[in-house]
Amino acid sequence: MESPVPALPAATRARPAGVRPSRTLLAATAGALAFTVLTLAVGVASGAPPEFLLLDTTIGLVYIGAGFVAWMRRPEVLTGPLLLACGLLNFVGSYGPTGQPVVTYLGFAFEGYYDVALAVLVLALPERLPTGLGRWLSVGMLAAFVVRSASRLVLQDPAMFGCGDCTPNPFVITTDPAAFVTVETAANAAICILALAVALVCVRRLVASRPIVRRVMWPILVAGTVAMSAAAFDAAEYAFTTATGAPLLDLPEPWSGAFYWVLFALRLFVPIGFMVGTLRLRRAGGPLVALAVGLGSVPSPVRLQSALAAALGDPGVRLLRPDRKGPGWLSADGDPARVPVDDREHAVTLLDHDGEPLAAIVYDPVLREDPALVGSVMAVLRLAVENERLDAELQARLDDVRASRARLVVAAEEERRRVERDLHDGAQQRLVAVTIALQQARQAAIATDAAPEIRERLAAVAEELQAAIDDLRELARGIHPALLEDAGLPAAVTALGRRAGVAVEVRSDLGRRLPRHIEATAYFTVAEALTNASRHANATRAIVTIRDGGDRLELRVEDDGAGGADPSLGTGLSGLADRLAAVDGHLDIASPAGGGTMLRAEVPLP
Amino acid sequence: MIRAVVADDSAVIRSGVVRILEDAGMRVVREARSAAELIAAVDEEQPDLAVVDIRMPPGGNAGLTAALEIRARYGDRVRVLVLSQYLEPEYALRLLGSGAGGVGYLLKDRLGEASELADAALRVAAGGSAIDPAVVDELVSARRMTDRLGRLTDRERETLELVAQGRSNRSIAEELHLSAKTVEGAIGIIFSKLGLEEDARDNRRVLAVLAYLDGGAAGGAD
Repeated sequence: MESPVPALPAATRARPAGVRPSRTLLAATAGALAFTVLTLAVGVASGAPPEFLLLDTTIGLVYIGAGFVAWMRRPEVLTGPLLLACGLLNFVGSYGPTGQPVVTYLGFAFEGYYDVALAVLVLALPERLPTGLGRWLSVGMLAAFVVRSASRLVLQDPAMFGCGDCTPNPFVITTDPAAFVTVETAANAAICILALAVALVCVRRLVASRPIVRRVMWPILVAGTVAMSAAAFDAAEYAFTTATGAPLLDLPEPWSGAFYWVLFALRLFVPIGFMVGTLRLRRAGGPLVALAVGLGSVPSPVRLQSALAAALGDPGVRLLRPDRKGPGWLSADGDPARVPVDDREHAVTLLDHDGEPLAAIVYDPVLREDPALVGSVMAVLRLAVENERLDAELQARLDDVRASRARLVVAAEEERRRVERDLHDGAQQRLVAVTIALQQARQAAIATDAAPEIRERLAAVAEELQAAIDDLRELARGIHPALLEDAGLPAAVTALGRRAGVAVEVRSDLGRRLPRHIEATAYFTVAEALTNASRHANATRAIVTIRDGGDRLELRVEDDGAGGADPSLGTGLSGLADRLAAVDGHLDIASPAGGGTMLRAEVPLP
Repeated sequence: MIRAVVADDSAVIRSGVVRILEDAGMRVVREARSAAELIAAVDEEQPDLAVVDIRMPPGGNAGLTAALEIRARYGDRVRVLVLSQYLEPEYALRLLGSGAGGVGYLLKDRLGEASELADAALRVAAGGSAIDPAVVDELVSARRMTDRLGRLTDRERETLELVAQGRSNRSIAEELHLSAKTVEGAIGIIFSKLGLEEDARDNRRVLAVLAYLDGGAAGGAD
């Protein structure tokens, strides 16, 4: 039994289903077995030699068994039915010794048709029916057999050859020995030549075929060559004996008897060859492991294609995939490609996901002989392609998230600048206006000689107002320093250093302006580091280094404080790490207890 | 009489400034609401003094840019006092670096003390310098972090700050209730302690002191 092929590929699925395996197959097989038993019973009843019965029945059963397997395996081709037919046709002519004249003469007339079935079978491989020369050979062979049958049925009577005791032929129309001998000889000669031709076709295919065809089909081609050669000898002997009355090979006993036994047994070659081929193909799934192992990461299409070639044993296999940017397809190398039609020239399997094509695999049509291998390879490949699709999907989602995060960073930075501007042009400006008004009020109070209490209260209000203005200025600067936009990162960091509460030395080799959101991220990184240095680490000195690495900005803030800073404890440092991650940067902190803190940040530059 | 141009996009503040300047005996010949109007007014009026808001239309620190432009065009002939919300020594240093004499950088909230704006305006109009005490203070405190001002006595540091604000020796003497001669001697000592060369010109002296103070923080910049 074939194991069910997972994820039956679409192109394969789309092919004609052929004969349905289940019921028809079982009925045919059961019928063939019943016929075998019947033949055996008749043979035993009529006292046929046991060794003949044994070999004859064995040949029939082997054919029937091989036919059953072949039919199960590839219901859409004729291999199975043809093998089954061979099994049945084998028994035609086995009734010679029954003593029933009707059966005997029918058997003699229609014996040997399994050679036609065999010829069609080997000529058809790997297609469903023989084509070209093969078709002519098949038809010719069938015609020769039909002529021979007709001649044997209606022209021949044992009495013609001096067998007076023999049962007369009940079908005979006219007894014309000359005509019979002529037709019999000619028909057998034709069969001989045609069988040799088929054997030669087998040999030629064996020699000239692509390696993959040879690999898949050599057992059956060898068997076909042998069986067809045997058939040719058989026909040649008939022709010779009919024409001359002498045996073709005049071997002494026991060689003669043994020779004919061997000739008889050669018929077993085809079903055995077929079985050997099938069993051998089953083992060919070995490279699958290599394919599966090769899928550890997401492999490149070229690697995948060569893994596929190794697994299928088909160096010409092509892995095509849909062009994500357009309607077409791409080869493994990334060149535009076309998916061929699944036909005699190419076998095509489509892998899809919810109807959306993921990949098309174009391989040698001879591999249709081995659907189990193709099915398993496609199943593994599906994993790979599916994996790749998920990976691409994930990557796309990650890109989306990254892009949206970058937009958020820019938007947040924009927002901070807007708030600072609004404070400056709004509240701060208004408070200055209030200051002026208050100042005028105080002057008026002096001029009108107002009560000292009022003047004192006005002075107190002025003081509060000044404090409010100072606070607001600090707040605005903390939200977004105007100097950063105006003078760039080093100047803004220098200004920051003046207010840091520790002695700050700024070392910078940055001589250009960077995107606003990166400048802001760098600025606030330094601000947070300096706040930590003065507030938590009790540092007295800090060195800020700004280094322009071309494709990245490096920031370092080193202090001489207490150390022991832990990003997992304070929200300040972990917030900083998040902030840097949002611009694809990262943060390292070395802060041994008692050894100062070294904060190092890196931001990629566009 | 000192002829002045006042530029600020806020009418309330503009009128407040105008009033303080006129109370101090100046004549405001033109008001401007944007950097472009300011430049045009200065070109036409050639005033003695321009009092300029640092942030003005068309946007950003257009006032500062216009002030530097005026300095570049007219040199010492048109003196510039910039009013700002930003406590940033960087801007003051940029103005001082723009040429000889007659510049000032004052925080806007000084408008609350009429005398402070008037003093600064007069000083700048007279070719001196006026740097907001808060700006000087920021530089001084940053500098003190490096501990190098420790060589100065408290009184000397106080004197240094007044010098940095652009005060004249006489004004410093008044502030500290000392004689002008004493102040002069004290400044000589301070300068030699700090290793600075004393320059007779008022604004050079301010720039030298501010640059010295700034060195503490901006040591390795550029």
